[in-house]
Amino acid sequence: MSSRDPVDWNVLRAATDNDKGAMKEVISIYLHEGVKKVKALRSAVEGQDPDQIVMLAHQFLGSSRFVGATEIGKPLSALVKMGRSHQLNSTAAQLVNRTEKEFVRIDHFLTAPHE
Amino acid sequence: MNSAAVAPVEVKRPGPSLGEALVVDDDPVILCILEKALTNIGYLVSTATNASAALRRIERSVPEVIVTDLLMPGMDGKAFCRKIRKNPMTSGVPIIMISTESQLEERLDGFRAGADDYITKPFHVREVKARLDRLVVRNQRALSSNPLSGLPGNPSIELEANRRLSENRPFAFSYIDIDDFKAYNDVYGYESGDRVLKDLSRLLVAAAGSISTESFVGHVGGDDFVIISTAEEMRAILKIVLASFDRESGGYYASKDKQRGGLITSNRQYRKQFFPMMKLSCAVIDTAIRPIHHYAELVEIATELKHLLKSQTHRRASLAQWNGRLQRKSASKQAVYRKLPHRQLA
Repeated sequence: MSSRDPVDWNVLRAATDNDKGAMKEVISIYLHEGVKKVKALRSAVEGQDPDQIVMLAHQFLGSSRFVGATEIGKPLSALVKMGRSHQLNSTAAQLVNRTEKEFVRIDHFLTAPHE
Repeated sequence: MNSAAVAPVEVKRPGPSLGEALVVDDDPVILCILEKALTNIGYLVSTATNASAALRRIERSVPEVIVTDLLMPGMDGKAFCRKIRKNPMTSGVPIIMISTESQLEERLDGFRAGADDYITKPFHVREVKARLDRLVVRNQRALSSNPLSGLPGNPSIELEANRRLSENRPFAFSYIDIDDFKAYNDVYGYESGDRVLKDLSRLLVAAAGSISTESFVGHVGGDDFVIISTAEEMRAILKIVLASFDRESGGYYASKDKQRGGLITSNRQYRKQFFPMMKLSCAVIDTAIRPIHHYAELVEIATELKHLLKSQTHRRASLAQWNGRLQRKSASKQAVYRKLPHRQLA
């Protein structure tokens, strides 16, 4: 893994026991769900719904860890913390932006041709 | 993958199934990973995206093991766990809880709710498999143990035989029972009968353990036991078992019965009859002689051999070895096994 790669392949390999078919399917589901989660997170922040923010960010954090995407975990963890404290401020929207930006990077990386 | 609801996943695989595993997680990525991993090792996997759907699924069929997420919308993993433990039908089902939380308090809460094990995301799928296998095997053993002997009972015997059949390596399966045990039980009472069964259990375990660490001893029920081992080890184990039981069985009788060589009591038709002193019968099936594909085949052959050993013609044989053929109720019963009188083993 290069230090700039958004995903650590070794993590996904461990999670799927190096089953290439399973890896492909997991990536496909992760990217498909990721788009929906970013959208839902933005909507939860706009609607000032801390419980929903915790639920969505926590779930996104979990699946991101499985595909070895660690960088996206930082804004997501902060959203979970913020949602749990029920203290939402303008930072929440910035965290969603950071999440989306990193997710786009992950999408490009995972859909680009690899060995 | 259908992760939307609780529809069971149809899986076609060769070999015996390890049973049903229910995976509960609201994250389709985790569901996909676990479904594939558990299917690959032989489970029939059902999935549910929330605890309520999982509970409805369990009402239809109780799984062998449950893997559940901790944080889910609606009912969380801990509440789900408590509901499972409260229901007598599911209270013994092993539960593995998974979560991104790795805090000690979270894990302890999971255990308090009734989880048997806890795994933090992201997990290594091989670790999940290992933990699952350990839990399921231990649970099956505990559930099926014979209350008298404490030995693994029928489900565990079947599991062990199927495991060895799936490995495609030859093994020997021996069905052991006590001839004329019922007469002894009738005359001396259940307490004395139970003592004989407990002593025999200990003898089988000690003999098998002295020869091999890989052998398996199970208690089918009543006076019926099973040993699974390699053919070579089985010969040595049974030699010890038969000699020891023969040597010690006299101690179970009063001197008048010992002098007479048996008991006089009513038979199943309520007529007085002489019953010799107890001895062991062992039906041995070596899967190297002819491939056996299913546990039911083993049981069928063992039952047939057992009947032959108890038939009047072969009354004094102690051990029957399957020769690869099975002929029921035929005139040439002698052709299906080789009988070894007890004294030849000594």
